[in-house]
Amino acid sequence: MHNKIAKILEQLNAVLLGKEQQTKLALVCLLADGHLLIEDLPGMGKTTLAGALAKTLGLDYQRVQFTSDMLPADILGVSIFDKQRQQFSFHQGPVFTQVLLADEINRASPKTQSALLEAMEERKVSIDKHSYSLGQPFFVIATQNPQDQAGTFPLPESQLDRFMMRIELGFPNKDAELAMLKEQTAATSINAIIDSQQLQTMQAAVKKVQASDALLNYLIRLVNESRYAAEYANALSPRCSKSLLNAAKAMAFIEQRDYVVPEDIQAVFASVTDHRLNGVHGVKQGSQALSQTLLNSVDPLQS
Amino acid sequence: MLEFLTRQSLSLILLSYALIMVLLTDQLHSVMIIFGLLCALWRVAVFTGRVALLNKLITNIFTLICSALVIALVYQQGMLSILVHLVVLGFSLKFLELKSVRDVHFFVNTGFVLVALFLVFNQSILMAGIAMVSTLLLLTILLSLHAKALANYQQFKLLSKAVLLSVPLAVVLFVVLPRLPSMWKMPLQNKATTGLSDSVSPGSIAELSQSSELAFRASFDGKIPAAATRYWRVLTLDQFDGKTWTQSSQLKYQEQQVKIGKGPIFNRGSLQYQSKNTRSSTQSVATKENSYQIIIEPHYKHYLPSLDFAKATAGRVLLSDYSLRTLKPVFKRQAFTIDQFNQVDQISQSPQSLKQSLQLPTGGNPKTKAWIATQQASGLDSYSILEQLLAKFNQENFRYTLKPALLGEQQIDDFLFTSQAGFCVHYASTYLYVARALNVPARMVTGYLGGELDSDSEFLSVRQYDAHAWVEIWKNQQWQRVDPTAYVAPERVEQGIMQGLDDQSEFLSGQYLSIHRWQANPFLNQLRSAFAKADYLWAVWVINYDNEKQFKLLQNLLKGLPWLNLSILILLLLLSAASILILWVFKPWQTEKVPSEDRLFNKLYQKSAQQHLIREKGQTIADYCHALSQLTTAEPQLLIDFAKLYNQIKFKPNLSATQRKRLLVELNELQKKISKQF
Repeated sequence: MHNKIAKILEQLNAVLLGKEQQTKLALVCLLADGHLLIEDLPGMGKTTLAGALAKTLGLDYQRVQFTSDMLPADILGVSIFDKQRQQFSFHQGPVFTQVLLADEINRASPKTQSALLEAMEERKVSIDKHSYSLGQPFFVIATQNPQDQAGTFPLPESQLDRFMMRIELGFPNKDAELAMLKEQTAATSINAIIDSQQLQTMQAAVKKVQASDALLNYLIRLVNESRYAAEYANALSPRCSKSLLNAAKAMAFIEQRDYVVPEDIQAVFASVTDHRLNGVHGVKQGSQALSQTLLNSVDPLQS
Repeated sequence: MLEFLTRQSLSLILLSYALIMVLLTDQLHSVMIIFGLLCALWRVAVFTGRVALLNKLITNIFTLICSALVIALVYQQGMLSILVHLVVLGFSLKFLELKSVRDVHFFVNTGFVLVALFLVFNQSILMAGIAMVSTLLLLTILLSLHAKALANYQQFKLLSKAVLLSVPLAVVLFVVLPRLPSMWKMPLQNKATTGLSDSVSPGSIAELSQSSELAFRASFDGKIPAAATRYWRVLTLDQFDGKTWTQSSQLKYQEQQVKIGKGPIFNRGSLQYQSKNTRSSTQSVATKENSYQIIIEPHYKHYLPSLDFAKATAGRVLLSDYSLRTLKPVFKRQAFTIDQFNQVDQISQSPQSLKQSLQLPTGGNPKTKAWIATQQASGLDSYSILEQLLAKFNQENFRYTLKPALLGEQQIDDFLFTSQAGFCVHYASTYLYVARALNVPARMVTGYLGGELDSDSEFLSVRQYDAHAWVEIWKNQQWQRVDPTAYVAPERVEQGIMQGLDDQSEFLSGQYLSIHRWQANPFLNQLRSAFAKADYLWAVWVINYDNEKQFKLLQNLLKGLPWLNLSILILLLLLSAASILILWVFKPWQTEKVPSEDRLFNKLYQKSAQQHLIREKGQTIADYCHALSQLTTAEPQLLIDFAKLYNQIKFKPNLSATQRKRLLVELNELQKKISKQF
C-alpha cells in the first residue's frame, strides 16, 4: 500500500513541480476523507493539481466552473416534467460524482455556494422532498481566487469550516519553473494508480491509526488555546479538532506509522486551521500566520 | 435600604444572641438584658421594614452615653464585671448597625469573646458543652452568610467537617503545648458569693442545706477517711451576741490581712505568738498522715476547706484557728493539693484567743443558767455537765429538722426547753453557750461534713447541703472537736444529711427538678453519678491541666520510648506540623509525575540547551532533535533515532509494560551516547 502512496506522490509531483509539501497535504486531505480548498492567484496550477489528484486516484470527476450567474440547480440537478411518462423525473447535476472540481468557487453567489453545503457535510442532496445519496467516496476539491480580487463572493465561515484543509500553492522556485518550461512540449500523461476501491481501503487503514492520550491532550490544549487566548477572533470548532486528528492520522499513515505523533499534527496544522482562524475577513497578522502563533504558544512536551 | 441579611441569618443571629445572654444572665445587671432585648427587637423591626437604620453619628453618640451609664451602673462590682458589661453592651449595640457583612463578623467575634468570658465563670463539663454549642451556633451564622448557596444539610456537613478536622489539632495543642503562666491577669470582681457566710444565726444554714450545688471535690492519695471524720473546716466563729455567731475582731483582722495579700507577713506574726507564749503546746514536729487534692468550685472568697490539720505553704495561709486560706480568691474552678498532718505546727493559742473563746453576752437565757446551776449543785465538774447536755440531746425528745420553728428572744432557753427541734447550728450554738457559761473555752466551727463518694470510690463530692457546724472546746491544752448534732442525728454524721433528717421530705423540698432529690431512683442515681464522674475528670484533666500534669502525662507517654524525651517530642511535633503544612501547601500528590521518557529528554536537553540550542515552546522533540543535529558534533542519526524512540514510547498506545521498559532502556543508552558526544 505504501508503495502506491509513494507512486501517487511521485506522479503528482511530476505534474506540479516543486510543490511536494502541497501535494502531500492534498493527498492527506483525501485520505482523511475531507474536502480540499485550494486558494491562490489565477494560473498557479490549482486546477491542474485538482485534476491530477482525481485522475491519479482513479476517481470519476466532474468539473464545474463557478460563475456569478450560476444557480443551485446547475450543481445539484433539477426535476423536469417528463411528458411521455407524465411525471417529474430528476436529472442529476454535476455533484453526483466522486470528485467535484469546483473551480473558482468564490465567483458564485452565496446561494449557489450554500447549495454545496449539504452535499459536502451530509453527502446527500435533497430536492423536492427527496434525498439522493452521493457516491462513495465523495470529495469536493474547490479552488478560489484570493478574496481581494474583483468579482468574488467570500465563502462564509460556516462553509470554510466544511473544508478540512485549505492549501496555497505559491509561486514555484526558479529551478521548478525552469523545468516546467522545458517540459512543456512533452505533456505528462496521468494514469490512475489506484482505484476508488483501493482508496477506500486506504481510508479505512487511516482510521485505524492510533492516537494516544498524550497526543489527544496536546491536540486539545492547542484547540483550547485558540478558544481562551485573546489573539484568536475565531476559535477552533470541535469539527476542526476532528479534522485535525483525522488529517494527522492520514499524515502518520503516509509516514508509515500506525500511531500519531505531535509532528503529524504540526505538519497539517497550518492547512487545517489557518482558514478557520482567519475567518472571512481575516488578514494575516504580522509576519507569522495565526496558526503558527498558536503552535508556538503550546508546548507539546507538557502533559 | 436593601436588606443584606437573609431571614435565616437573622434568626441565627437572634438565636445565638439569646443563648449567649442566657448564659451570662448571672453576671449581668437586669437592665442590660432589657436593653439587649430592645436592641434585638429594633433590628427585627429594621428587617421587616418598619424603621430605618440610624446614621453613624447618632449611633456613636448613643454608644458613648450607654457606655458611661453602664460603667456607672456596675462600677461597684469590680473590673471584671465592668468588662463583661461593656462587651455585652457592644454586643447588643451591634444590632443598631448590623448593615454589612463586616458588622456580622464583628458580632460573631464578640460572641466568641463572650463565650470565653462565660467559661471564666463556669467550668463544669456541662457548661463547656453549652459553650461549645454556642460557638457552633456562631459559626453557623458565618456559614449562612457566606455559603448561602448551600442547602442547610450541606452547611451542616461543612461545619461538622471543619469542627471534626480541628479537634485533633486542638487536642494535640492542649496536651503538648507548654503551659506558660498567663501573661495577663483576670481582674477580680466584687461579687455576691456562694457558700458559707461569715456569720450564722440559727436559721441561716437551713437555706444552705437546700442547695445541691457542688462546693468542692476531693480525692485522696492515701486511704479515704471515714465519713464521720471528714470534718472540712472552713470558718471559726467565736463571737456571740445572743443571736448571731460571728468572727471575733482578732479573726476578722487575720482575714483582712489575707484579703489585702499580707499572708506571709501574717504567718511570721503567728510565730511571734509562739515565742511570747509560755503555755505553748504544739512544739513537736507534725508528721504527715495523708494527702488529698481539692478541686474547689469558684466562691470568690479565700476559703479553702481542709481536714485537721493543714499547714501553710506557698500561696496558702493558715489562720490561728487552723483554717486554711488562699492568697487569691477562688474565682474559677481550681485544684489544690493539701497535706494532712496529725497535729498543727507552729501555731499556738494566745491568751487573748482563749479569752475570746469564753465571751458571752451578759444576761439572758435564765432557764439554761438555772439548769447549769442544778447540775453544778449535784457536784459535777464542767466537762461532765457538758456530757450531761449531750446525753440530754440524745435521750430527750430532740429532733433534727431543716425547718425548725422560729426562736424567741431567749434563743437558747427556747431551743433547749421549748422547741427542741433544729439543725446543727442550733445544737452547736446551745452546746457552746453552756460550755462558755461553764468557763470552758469553746468556739463554733463551720464547714462541711462528709461528702459523697462516686461509684468507684475515686473522689468525694461535697455539696452545699453538706454544710455543717460543730464545736471545739479547749481541753487538755488543745482544741477538741465535739459535734452535738451527732448525739441527735448520728446518721447525719455517718451517712449524710438526707439520712439525718427525721422527715426526709424536707430534703431539698421545693426543688423537684434537682436530680439529687431523687436519689432513690436507681436509674437517675446512676445517671447522676456518671455525670458527676465525667465532670470530675473534666475538672482534673482539663480545667486543672497544668505544667506538672502535662509533664507527668508526657513522661508516662514517653516511658515506652526511652530515646524520646520531651524536647525531642516537641521538636518532632513541630516538624510534623511543618511537614503537614508544606504538604498541604504544595500538594505533591497533585503535581504531575514526570514520565521517564520526558525525564530522559530533559537530561539531554539540559546539556544541549546550555551549549547549543534552546527549544522553542511549540517545538516538538523530533523537530528539536533535527535542529540540534545540524548544530552539534553528535552523530545526527543518533539524535533522529532518539526522537523516533521518544515518540514511540510517548505516543504509541497499547505498549506493554515490558516493551516500554525495553524501549526506555534503549532511550537511556541513546541519551548517554549523545550526551558524551556533545
